[in-house]
Amino acid sequence: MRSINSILGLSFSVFGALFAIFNYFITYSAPLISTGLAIMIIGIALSLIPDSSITQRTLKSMLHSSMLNIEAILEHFDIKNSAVYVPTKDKNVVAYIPIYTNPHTPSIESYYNAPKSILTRLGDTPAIMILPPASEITQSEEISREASLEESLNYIICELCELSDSVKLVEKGDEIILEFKNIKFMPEAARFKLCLGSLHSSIAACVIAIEKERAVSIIEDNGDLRKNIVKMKLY
Amino acid sequence: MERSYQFIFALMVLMFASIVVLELENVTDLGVYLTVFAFEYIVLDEMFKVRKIAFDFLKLALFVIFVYIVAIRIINILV
Repeated sequence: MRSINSILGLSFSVFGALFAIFNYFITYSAPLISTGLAIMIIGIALSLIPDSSITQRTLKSMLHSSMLNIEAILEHFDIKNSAVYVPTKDKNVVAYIPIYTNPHTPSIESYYNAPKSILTRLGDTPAIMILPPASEITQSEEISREASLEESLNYIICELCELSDSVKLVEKGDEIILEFKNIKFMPEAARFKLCLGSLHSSIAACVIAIEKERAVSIIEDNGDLRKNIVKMKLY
Repeated sequence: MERSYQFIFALMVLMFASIVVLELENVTDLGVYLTVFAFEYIVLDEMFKVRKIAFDFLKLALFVIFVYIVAIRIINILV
């Protein structure tokens, strides 16, 4: 089924093209021809924009409830370790968190080979597997493969979920530094933040894991709501 | 308003404002209008970073038009 944007965009572009052609052959007035071209450009641009089928408020409340569920699980097991976001074969993201602080850090292979159950093992380390709040959002059909990682992050975090004004990304080898401008939604969930990072950085980690097809963890977060800088590490 | 619609709105305002300004300046060359449109689209697209459902062929087409018109102008000045 065609979206409203594409129908409206197509109508605009056809009208604009006909208006420009008509004026080119009949009046040859540059402002009128260019008006037709402008309508055509706006129409094409509109048809390239995805429709939003869910309101941002609904999406935010769904993310919040998912976050609170995870918070309850983390509280129950008294987990204080950081999560590693791992992409799965079916284009999904799961987060593994070791239950105990172990002097031997689990190897990265153990994350990929861990059994897919809530209570799992990373090599010898007992851990829990969690589906982060954005593990399904990253599968959005409206995300094209041609787009860059920064565009994907801006679409999901700023446009779809409206969690911040903009996201900037810098890659330094295996490190990714993200700058979120004006955080608009920061739900209170201390344990979630401790293990999986803030909501927007958790979503960003899922997007990065999917697009890079590598495991990722949040290593630093300055906690500033106006200019939030988050460092992530790729494995 | 969503960012994507802010982008469309900004594009619409800028394009029609530039048509009015160029008309007041008595510009009759279509190339000038197209160059301004291409410039506005590319700049706004970079500013808003709007997600597209497919490859942005419009940006590519406008960029090619922009480069072609500017190149023709430079050649005309030099020759």
